[in-house]
Amino acid sequence: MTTEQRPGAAPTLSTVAIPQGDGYAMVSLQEFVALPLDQRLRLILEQRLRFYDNQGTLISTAEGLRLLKKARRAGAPAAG
Amino acid sequence: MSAFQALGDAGAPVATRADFSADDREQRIAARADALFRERREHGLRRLDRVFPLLMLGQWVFAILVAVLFSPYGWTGKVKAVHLHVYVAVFVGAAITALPLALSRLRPGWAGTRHVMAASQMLWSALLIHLSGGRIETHFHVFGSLAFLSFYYDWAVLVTATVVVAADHVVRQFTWPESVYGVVNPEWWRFLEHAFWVVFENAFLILACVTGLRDLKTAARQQARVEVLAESDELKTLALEMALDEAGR
Repeated sequence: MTTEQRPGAAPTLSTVAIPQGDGYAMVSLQEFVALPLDQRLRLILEQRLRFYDNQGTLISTAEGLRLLKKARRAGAPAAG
Repeated sequence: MSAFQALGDAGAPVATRADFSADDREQRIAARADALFRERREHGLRRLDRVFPLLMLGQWVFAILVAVLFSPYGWTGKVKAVHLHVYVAVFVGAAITALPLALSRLRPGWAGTRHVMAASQMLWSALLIHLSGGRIETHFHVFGSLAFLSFYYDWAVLVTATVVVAADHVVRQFTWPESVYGVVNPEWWRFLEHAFWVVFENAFLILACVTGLRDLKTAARQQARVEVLAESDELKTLALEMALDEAGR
């Protein structure tokens, strides 16, 4: 969809952009996970999140969420 | 926080709240449909730009064979000899094919490329008609070529082809009628009769071009809708999993 093709394999999440005012604000994964659940769910369902991998490339929301889930289940720092 | 708390402050389910972004979803579908349409259109145009030079190379071989096997008889009776038309087939055929071949490599997908293909294909018709001594059956090559050119879904290409073949008929009718009609004294309006049948075919081919483009857009929009809805569905699943994960902690 809005995703660009990423070169290489095994990407990791780096940052998330969330709507703020008229634009977007970049937040860390910890800050994102610390947001209230209902706010996160709304952002996800309204597809207003922008996930970026460790190379700064935009990835799809679904792929970002999958990576986030994997990181949290592995107990990575991103788990918040 | 429980999964139930995730429903939102006003008590409305979050999933339903997402539905109020239907306009946003329609915009996303439209943007994706546009991208898909452009991608497929570009792919189709580039593919045809690669195929036409192959056809022309085939026609070149065919023209040389016609010149060697048929043209001496067609033009000089039963005496078989290396005729000027063999050289015409080789060198004029090469000249007609050179530019389309170059453009297919250098500028595939460019609008000018397909107009050159159209003009060159019509020049190929003209050459084959000439080599066959103006046989009326060889004129069918024009109609087949127009049909193939319509695969571009660009009616302007048909206009270019028509102008080229009509100009060829007009010029040769009044300068060398035998080479285009096989007779030395055709009726003055013979080129108009041929042009009429070309326009007749074009009417249907232009309709096919317009319909084909519309179908391509419809297919792109349908695929975009499926993709966006599938993505939306997947996001709902992932969001639900996130909520359940946190509820289970």
